[in-house]
Amino acid sequence: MLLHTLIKERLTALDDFSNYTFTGKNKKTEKSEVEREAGKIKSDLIEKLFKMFPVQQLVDSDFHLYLFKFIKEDQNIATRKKMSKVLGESVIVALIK
Amino acid sequence: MFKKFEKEVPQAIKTKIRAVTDTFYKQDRVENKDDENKEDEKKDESTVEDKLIQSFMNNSESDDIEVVKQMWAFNMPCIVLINGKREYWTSKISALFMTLMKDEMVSVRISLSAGLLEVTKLLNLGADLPDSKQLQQQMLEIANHFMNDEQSKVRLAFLPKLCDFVALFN
Repeated sequence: MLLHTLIKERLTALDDFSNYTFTGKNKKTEKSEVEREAGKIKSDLIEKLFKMFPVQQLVDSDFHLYLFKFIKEDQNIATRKKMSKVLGESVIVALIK
Repeated sequence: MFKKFEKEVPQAIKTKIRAVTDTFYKQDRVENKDDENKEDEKKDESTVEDKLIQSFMNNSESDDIEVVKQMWAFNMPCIVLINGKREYWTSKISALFMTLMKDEMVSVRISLSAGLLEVTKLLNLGADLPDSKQLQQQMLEIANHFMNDEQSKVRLAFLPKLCDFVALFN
C-alpha cells in the first residue's frame, strides 16, 4: 500500500517540472541540469526498490515499467546499463526462479 | 557501543543525562514562553547539582535561538537514542519535532528531514504495542510533510532514504 502511495507518487513527482521555478539566466541549461539530477535520484531509488522489496509485489504494482522507460528513453548510457542490470538480475532472474 | 551504554551505564547517570537533555530541549523557547518560565525558575530552590546542569545546557536568552534550533534538529536522532527511544519521543520530543519541522529556517528542516529515517528506526514501529498505529500514522504525516516541502533541498535530504523508510512499515 505504502509502495503505491509514497514511492509511486514520488517517482511521478520527479518527472513533473510544472511547478519548478527556474531562477538562473540560462533556463534551458538549468532545466537540463535539474532533469539530470532528478533522473539520477529516480534511478537510484528504483535500483534500491528492486533490491529491498519482493519482485512479485513490485511487478504487480507496475514498477517494472519505470525500468522499461529508463532503458528505452534515458539519454545517459550508464543509467540505461544500470537499469538493464536491475531488470536482468532482480526481475527476470527472480521471476524465472 | 550503544548496547554497552545501555548495559553498563548506571541508572543514575542515565537520569542525569535525561535531566540535561530536558534542560536543553525546551518547547518554550520555540513558543516564546521564556518570561513565565524565568519567574518560575527564580522561585525554585534548586540544588547545586541542578544548578550545574542548568549552567551546562540551559538555553539562555542570550543564545541565538536560530543556532539552538539547528543544534536541536541536528542532534535529534542521538537524543532519542540516548534517552529511551520510543518513550522519550512520545513524551517529549514529538511535540518539539512537530513544531520544528514547520520552522522557517531551511537548514533546520534539512537536518530534521535527513534524520527522520534514523528517528523512525529508533521508534521500532514494528513492535506490537498499543500506540504503534498512531506512531506509524504520525511518522507518515511527517514524511509527507518533508516530501512536499517547498524547498527542494529539504525534499532531497529525505528522498534517497524513502525505500528504507517504507521498509520499516512492512
